[in-house]
Amino acid sequence: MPIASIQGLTVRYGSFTALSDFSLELPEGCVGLLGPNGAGKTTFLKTLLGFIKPASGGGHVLGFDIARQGREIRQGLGYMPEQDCHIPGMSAVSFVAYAGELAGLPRNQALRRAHEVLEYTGLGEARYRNVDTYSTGMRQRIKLAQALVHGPKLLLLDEPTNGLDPKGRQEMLTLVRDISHGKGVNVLVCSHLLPDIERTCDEVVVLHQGRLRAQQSVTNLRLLDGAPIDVELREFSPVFIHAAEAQGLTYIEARGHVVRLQGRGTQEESAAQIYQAARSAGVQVRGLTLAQRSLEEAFLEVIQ
Amino acid sequence: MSSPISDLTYRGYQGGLAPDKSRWQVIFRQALRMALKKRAYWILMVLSGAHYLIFIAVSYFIDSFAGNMGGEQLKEQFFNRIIWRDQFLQGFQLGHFLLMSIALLVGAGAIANDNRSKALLVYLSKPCSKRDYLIGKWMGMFVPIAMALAIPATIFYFYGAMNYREFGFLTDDPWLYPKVIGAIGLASAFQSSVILGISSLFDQGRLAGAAYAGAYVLTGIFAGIAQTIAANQKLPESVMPWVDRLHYLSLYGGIEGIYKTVLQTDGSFSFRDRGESFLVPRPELWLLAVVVILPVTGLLWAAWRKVRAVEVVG
Amino acid sequence: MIELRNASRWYGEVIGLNDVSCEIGPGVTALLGQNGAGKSTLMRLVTGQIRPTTGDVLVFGEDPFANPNVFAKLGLCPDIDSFPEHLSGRDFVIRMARLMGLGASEAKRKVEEALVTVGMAERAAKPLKGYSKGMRQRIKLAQAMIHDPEILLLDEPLNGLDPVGRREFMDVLAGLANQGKSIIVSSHILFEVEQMTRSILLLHRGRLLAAGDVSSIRELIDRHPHRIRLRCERLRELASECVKWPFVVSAEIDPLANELEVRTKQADLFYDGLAELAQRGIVVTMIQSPDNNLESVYEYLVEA
Repeated sequence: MPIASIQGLTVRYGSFTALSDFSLELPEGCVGLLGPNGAGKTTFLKTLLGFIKPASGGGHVLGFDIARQGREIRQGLGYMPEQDCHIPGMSAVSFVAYAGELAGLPRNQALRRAHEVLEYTGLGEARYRNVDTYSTGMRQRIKLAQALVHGPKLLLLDEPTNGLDPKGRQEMLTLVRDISHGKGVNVLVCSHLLPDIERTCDEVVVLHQGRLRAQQSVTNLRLLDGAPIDVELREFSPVFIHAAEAQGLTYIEARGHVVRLQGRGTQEESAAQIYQAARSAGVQVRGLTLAQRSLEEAFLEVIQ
Repeated sequence: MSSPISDLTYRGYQGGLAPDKSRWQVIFRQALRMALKKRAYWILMVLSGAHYLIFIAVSYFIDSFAGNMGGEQLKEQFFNRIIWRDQFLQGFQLGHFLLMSIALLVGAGAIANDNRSKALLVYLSKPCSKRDYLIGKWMGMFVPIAMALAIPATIFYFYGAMNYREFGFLTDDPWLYPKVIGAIGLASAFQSSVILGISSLFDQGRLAGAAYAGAYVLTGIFAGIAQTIAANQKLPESVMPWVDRLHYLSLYGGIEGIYKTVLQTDGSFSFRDRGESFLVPRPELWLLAVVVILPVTGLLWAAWRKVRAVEVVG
Repeated sequence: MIELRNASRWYGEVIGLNDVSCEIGPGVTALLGQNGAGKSTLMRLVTGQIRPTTGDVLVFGEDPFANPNVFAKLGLCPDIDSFPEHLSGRDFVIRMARLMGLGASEAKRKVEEALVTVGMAERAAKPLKGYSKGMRQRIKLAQAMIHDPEILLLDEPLNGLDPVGRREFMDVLAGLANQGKSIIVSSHILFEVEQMTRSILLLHRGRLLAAGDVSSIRELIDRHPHRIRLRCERLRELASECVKWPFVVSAEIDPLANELEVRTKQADLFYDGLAELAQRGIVVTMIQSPDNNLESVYEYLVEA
């Protein structure tokens, strides 16, 4: 059963059409939402939160109608906003417990859950400190904690790694990956940083100019026709390319010291031919992989 | 049989939920907790009861003076002049500036600070509507403000009921206590609505506080100046009620008007008689309605417009 | 072009930069580090906004502090995002040009050139308040390069850009680098940096931890043997061959992915060994080195 299904949704702000005739079935699991600025991502998130009065069309999120049952939808949904947000003058525990109470948890349950999710998001002893004193990384974590406290079935993460340094980003991505696999939570990640999507998501949805441009698994999106092979050499050598062609491989392109070749037979046959060519050219093979596009290339291709 | 090792990482929430209608109570309770936690709130409350304290001290002094040194006559004179219901009006008049400070303390940041830290993103992305939010915030202001007015007044009332019965404390107006509470309720509701609206227009608690204090003080000063100028013009008798009406064209005037109307008094002086001319008669109902309802509806409407779910994302 | 000699800077008792010596030449150089590592201090030293507490900073052989000769060759694109919002992009840049002392007509001409370079010539007439993040960054870049500086410093220029905007902005920078300009970019999003340059300056807690090319830095990190992942039809045979080599530290089969992960101290010899095996019929079909990227280099250096 899809988490959300939208049919023919059109949303207008005045004369501006943010989404036009937009249809989508959001599958379970971890899905990435991609699109340049102004593509309608924000409007789509608002739709999922049940804030939008559609001009035409409609849809359901978690089985509730987006136009009429916003409250029921938000009961089953957690939202981690892009902007830094907290309630001033509170410790992390009371903030998250308060968020839980706002979502309808009884006071004692809310406090218990607050400790549970803060533990999970790794806030440890800092949870008794005032949120005003938190660093960027901790603020991201507490935003995630307040989105999880009421045990949502769908989690919307808007730029979850915003402002994090490499270590913090790594930890946040591990959390996102973990929560969306085997914990019964479906996740929609919205990010400009495509490697983040690549690491966490199984599937991506690409929006452009208010329309759905692509919905595919990450692996498929990155696949190249004919499964060419990227060969990394210690240093680039034109001799190697000749030798490879002599072995029956087709030369496609070279970037730096990575040469992309197209084989005819199985992977093992191609590999053997590559080694043969390397031997005759006297070069060292340092990498051998099935060529893939980066998600970024794939994305740019889809929206152009 | 479950596994001997349990997974302590993350799990969903299966427990029960509180009913939908109670969401505003969560916000209200939190706001109340924050307000009552402030020491300044309690200090201001005690100070705002200055009139009652002075009255109790003076009457105690007169009482014991009369008992020991034969000042029975003075005692008679003093207590016969006292109009009991006016004590509550005077209690407000003397402490009004401190009461405004309490209102600022508990109210100015209510929405403004949330605007600054973008807390609406947290509130409105939960199953919690704009109405829940505003009602919760309003109640979170109304209750502490009303408490700050009601607690000293109630203590004084019980003190009076025990000590001044012989001077007609209970018999002069048997409905005095409900009237006092009614006046306090209306006055607090008026203040809460005004502050809620002002707070929603700013994104810093301090600015909202300054704006409210400014509005309170400036409208008070302007109304005062206008009234004084008009009073010194030797205007014909028929215009005089209009001069008096000027007095109520301020936030302070609105609250005082509520007190006078509910307590059904024009006011009096307890300790030092400055003469009738310094007492402004209670406002007509229509005037009170204009002075109170215009700012309240305007500002509540502003708050309703300003707090918007659609802006939660992006 | 830029030289730091034992430069240190303290703010009262707080460490900003501690005994840093380095040279920065033409091309794109990435300035990396966590928050508070000293990136902004270094930028401020180079732009002459502050003086080093000890040591020297030289830009074109001169002390940049309050030195108009140096300022004429520097362009700074700060990370703050506040503009006079009612002005159009063009007017804003023209005013900045006038502030630099250009005459009205000259300013107009130069601004037009700069706007063309950053790709904003057609869009610069609208007021700034309607600009997207990408457009704002370009305007900032335009105002930094009106006087055609030799050195451009950009503080977190890619923050908040969507993938399209980021790609375009990087192309602009690459174009400038090709003209022989020095471009210093600070960032903490490593994959962005990796797309721009291999040349890095890594600051950590105020000290210069590494400077130079990412691959050559990686070669020098001995404490962490290279991890190499291999795939092969005859995986277990391959594994037993690998462990015979003295330079292999460990070999582990990952049964899920059906891959062999080898850790070696001497990657060079290992790759030669693989070529030998290919001769003997044990053909590796995939070679991947997850360590040879900026992220793991960063991790090894910062977290060791």
